[in-house]
Amino acid sequence: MQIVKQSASALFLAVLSFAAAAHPHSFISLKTELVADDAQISGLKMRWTMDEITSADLLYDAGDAKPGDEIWKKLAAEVMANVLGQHYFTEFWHNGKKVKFLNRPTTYGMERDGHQAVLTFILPLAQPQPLAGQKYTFSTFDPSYYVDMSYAEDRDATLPAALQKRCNIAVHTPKPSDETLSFAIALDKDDAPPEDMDLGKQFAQQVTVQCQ
Amino acid sequence: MSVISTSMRQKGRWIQLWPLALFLVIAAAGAVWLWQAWPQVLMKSVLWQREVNQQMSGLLKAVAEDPSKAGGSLLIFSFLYGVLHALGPGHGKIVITTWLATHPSKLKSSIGLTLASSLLQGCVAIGLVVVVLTLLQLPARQLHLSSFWLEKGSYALVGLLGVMLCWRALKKLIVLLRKPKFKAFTAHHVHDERCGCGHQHLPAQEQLRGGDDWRARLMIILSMGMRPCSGAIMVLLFSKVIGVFGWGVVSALAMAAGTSLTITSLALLVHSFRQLAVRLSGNKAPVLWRQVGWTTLALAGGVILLVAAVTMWMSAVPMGRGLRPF
Repeated sequence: MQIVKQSASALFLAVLSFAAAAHPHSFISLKTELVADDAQISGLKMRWTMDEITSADLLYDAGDAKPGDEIWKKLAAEVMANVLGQHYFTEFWHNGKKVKFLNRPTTYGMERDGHQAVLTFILPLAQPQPLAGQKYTFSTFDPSYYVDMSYAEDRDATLPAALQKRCNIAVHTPKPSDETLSFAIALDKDDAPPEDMDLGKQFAQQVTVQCQ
Repeated sequence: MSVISTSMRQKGRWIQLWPLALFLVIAAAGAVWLWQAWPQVLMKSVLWQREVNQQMSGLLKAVAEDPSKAGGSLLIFSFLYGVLHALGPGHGKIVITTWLATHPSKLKSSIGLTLASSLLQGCVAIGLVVVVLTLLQLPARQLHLSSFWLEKGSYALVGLLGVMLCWRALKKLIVLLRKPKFKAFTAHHVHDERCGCGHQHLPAQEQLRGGDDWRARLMIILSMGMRPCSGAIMVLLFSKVIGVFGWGVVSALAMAAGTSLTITSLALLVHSFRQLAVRLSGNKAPVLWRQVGWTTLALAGGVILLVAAVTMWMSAVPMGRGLRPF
């Protein structure tokens, strides 16, 4: 009888450990605004708010430094360097092609919001892209899925006031039933590029911008 | 008469296997379900993880405001966090399952191993934070660097343990294979209380276990417990930032208790499967054959640990990945 109980608990443990194996350890909530003039998109203005426990790491080092202090600049530079090392954790697509970014952000900084650390920066496109009649898609994610990066609300991706009449912006969140998320299907596709199999990409939200 | 009794005994043995059959059926059903529901399982686990993360920081903030209200909830929550977090793959589980599956051990001492290593793991996390942040006054970055080296160190210990187990098993194999040749038929044979019946028996399991096993056990505890849990360090750091470090310590200890529950269940499971295997293998095989078999299994255990240690050592990510989001 004891063995039965133990066998059942082993199965339970086995199932749970599969689920636990692939979970993110940090959570970042994203807010993004398109940077554009009347005719062209030039970049993305991003605001990344880290979860409180992850933030503790940075806030401990910051102590009670005032905004604009040297230590904030140091921490911002350190985190920004890591973000740049991962190509801003962002992909930007136009007509099925990746749009390139500049290697350095236009501006960046870090601040405290309650118990959370917030990284802000402007991601510049290498070449400004035309708006009229075009459709753009972008995603921000960690391919390894150690960090979950997501828009908590659809309205967290926004357009500048001047474009709100001409363009439309929407956040698409993949659901477990979506084909993109189905491992069973993806595993059968030998021709799928390996980076499409990354867990982080499978969960990544997509932001679509469509202009008239 | 004897034929009947043998066949009945044979039948009884197969009936005794029913838990194993049931386990296989359930496991197969579970695997099929998992294959189909995998995306949902993943999605749910992410949502839970996010809630757990928020709940933990929320509880610590609540404790900072009013310890009498939230203290109990924090303890229970930390305990459950420990139980669940220990479910993931980890080097400690490789060490304890390999050791218990390939080496004879008593139930009590196995439980002692898991309890001691979980407690050690909790204390290492607390000690690390106190030493690095409070005593040495270093920035949080140093915390992760030290944690990374402790991790490497524990993998090195796993490798050392593997080498030790291999060495012991090899020595034993050589002794086992040589012994009958020159011990049993030696003419100049000094009699003592151990050789009453005129020939040397092979060493019993008890003797094989040996008196120097404390060395292996100590290495198991150290290699499992030396690497601090990153979750515990994060909670300690956060509690320090909001000024309730004492509660962070309590929470880390509750997590260690939860971890020990999971690891101990795993250890019990492996232990009972080994007992079952020992029982089923029975006494039919010749003694020498059996001894060689079990010693070879011990050798395999050592090799598994050695390979696992090398793999983990190579794939340990230096810094950055630990707690910093990038």
